[in-house]
Amino acid sequence: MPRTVDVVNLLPEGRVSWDAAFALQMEAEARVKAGGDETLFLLEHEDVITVGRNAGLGELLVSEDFLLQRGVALRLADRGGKLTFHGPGQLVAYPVLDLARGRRDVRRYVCDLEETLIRTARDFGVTAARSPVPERKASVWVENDKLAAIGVHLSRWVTTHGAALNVSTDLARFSLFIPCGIADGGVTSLSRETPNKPPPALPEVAECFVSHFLKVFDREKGKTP
Amino acid sequence: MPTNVIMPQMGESIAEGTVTKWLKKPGDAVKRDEPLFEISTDKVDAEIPSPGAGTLLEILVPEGQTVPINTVVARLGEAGEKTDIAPPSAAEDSSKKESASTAAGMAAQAAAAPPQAPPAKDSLKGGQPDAAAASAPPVAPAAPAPSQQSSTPSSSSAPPGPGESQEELLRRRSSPVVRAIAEEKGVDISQIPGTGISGRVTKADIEGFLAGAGAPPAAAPGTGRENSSKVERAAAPAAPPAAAAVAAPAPSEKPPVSSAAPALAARPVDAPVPPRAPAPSPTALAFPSGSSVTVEPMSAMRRKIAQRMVESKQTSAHVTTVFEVDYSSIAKLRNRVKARFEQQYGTKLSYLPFLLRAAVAALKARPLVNASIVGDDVVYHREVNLGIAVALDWGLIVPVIRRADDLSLVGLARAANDLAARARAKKLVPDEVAGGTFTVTNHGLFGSLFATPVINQPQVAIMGVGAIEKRAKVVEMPDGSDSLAIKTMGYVALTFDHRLIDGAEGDAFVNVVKATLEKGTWSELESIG
Repeated sequence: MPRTVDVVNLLPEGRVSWDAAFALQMEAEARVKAGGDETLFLLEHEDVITVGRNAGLGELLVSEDFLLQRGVALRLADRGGKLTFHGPGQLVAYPVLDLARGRRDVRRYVCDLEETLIRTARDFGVTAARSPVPERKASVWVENDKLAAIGVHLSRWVTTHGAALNVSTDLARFSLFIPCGIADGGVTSLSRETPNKPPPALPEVAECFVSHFLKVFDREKGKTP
Repeated sequence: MPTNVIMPQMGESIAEGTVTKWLKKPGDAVKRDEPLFEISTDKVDAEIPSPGAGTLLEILVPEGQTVPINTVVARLGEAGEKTDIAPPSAAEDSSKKESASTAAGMAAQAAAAPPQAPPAKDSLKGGQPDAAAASAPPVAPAAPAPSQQSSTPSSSSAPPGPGESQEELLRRRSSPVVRAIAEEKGVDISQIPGTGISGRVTKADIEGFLAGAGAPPAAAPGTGRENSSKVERAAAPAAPPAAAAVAAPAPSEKPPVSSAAPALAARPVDAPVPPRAPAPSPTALAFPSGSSVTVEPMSAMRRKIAQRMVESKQTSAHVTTVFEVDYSSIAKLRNRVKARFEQQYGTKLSYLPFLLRAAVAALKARPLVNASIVGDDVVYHREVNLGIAVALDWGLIVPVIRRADDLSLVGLARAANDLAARARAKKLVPDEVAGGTFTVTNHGLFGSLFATPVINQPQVAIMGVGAIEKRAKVVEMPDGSDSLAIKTMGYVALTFDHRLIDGAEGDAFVNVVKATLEKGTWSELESIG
């Protein structure tokens, strides 16, 4: 009997600030730790650059003032990975799952997230893959360009943070820093990879993501608030 | 009795973890299950709860260090309790041995363990060697070797505290049959990762552990806690909290290659592995069938260059302006000092450092040429990081002289010669080919008079230096008459991105270059002449 996960799609609410999404995740994490249902948040962020635990601000190529002037927030995030950007045109998925209820394996969890992203990209005609390069693991690539980023935090086997898939993101934002500390190799998006099609709409991508997520993680969709 | 806190196993195929942050200091009281430290493996950051209640006695693995799973990273006990006695015997060869043996217990993955970060020189081969642009995966600073603990035995004995005894701990974590096996084989149960309810060590766990280890681990005799390493105590308390994790370049954010490989092999969910990249559909051949051709695949570097060049042409509106520069005074100066220069500084004095210095002066005067376009914004780079295109037998690479605006002529000469030599020897580190804000290409070396180079994205201009040679020039004599003179001349071309830089701005830039080369004073050279 698959476990249920509450799918909370915030896309209709408009762009969500990083802080607000973080607060929601904290609440969901507390619920899960108390034995409650797991939650999958789907949302689009306002412009923000987040700095993971393994990063230094040296990978930021512009000053913080410059970011502020451009309305790009800068946040330190308690997740793995380095710097990344979230903003309009990017599907962000934050699964708050209890890995202790299944196999306690972070690598498997990350692998499952990658798989979900790869299958979602395939729905839009984009062949994405994991990278064989060790420095590039835990994200999803189209040839030499990064399509989606992953960064996860784990507290007593409960996950927070998650994955960000570039759908029609302004990729120029990524030149403000060195994404994930990888200096060669660029970033890409679903719409950039399919120049002859209209850019996919976020809700549509979210729908595909959710259906693959449920299959890959063997969950059933719970209530949708 | 102190309780060992171990590096937990975060997944089947994971052999090690990096301590990223201690949430408690030695001496702090800790509740059971309260978050005690944080680790990272792959792209996951995890909080690890305390295995018991008590006081954090000592931290054995400082922040930033990567250790095999099951390595003891800290000890818990009663306040004031000393970490217990280490009978000074060979068996207690301490933590190094212990971590080795526990790792062995965890089977092969640890045997293949850490050659940590790949040596930098491999980056040009192993990574994507990259051409006209900054390149190569950044190499994390090599992680410190696992368990560098010194093994100074501490001399004081531990007063048995009233708190949770080791007995209780063992009972909580194992069944009687497991304890019996442990006793018989001399294994410390707390060293075994438990898969049972709330982490209990099951019979299968201990049997698997013994099978993996082959023999009882070296650390086994007695309680298994005798390795009271005193250990780099300074490191933990001194480690600044919070911000440190971000501000410091994080050591070893990547597990070694060897541990990643089995992970990929064992990848559970991806039965349908997607093809690595969409194979470009074979288009109609551009030559008639039956024609005599040889086909070979492009090298990774070639593909990268091809991609970057086309991208640049599609991104920027390339315009080239060409000036003729009179190098006569520099030629004279150079001829006079070059032998002494080489003797004194151990590096050759070519025309290049003069050109680099002139480019720096011009970039300072016209900062727009040292900028980038990001979306609808102009990003001015405060530093001048000069890329120098270096031709290789197998392609092209652009190492970068960082903070070129801080360097003297001698410094520029040294940096340029050093980078070019190491580029040819494939000895550049990734940082040295990243972050350029402007590029100079010296195509004149091959006799080219002038060229229209392609901009190195995301820069907005590139300076091409043509061959420097003696030419007959018409000069005006003091009495107003014209005369032919032999001058050392060369063309300097600037290709700029007309999206950002208009013709007048580009010309203004090259005029500063020209003026610096023709009329500049090079006081640091005068002294050695």
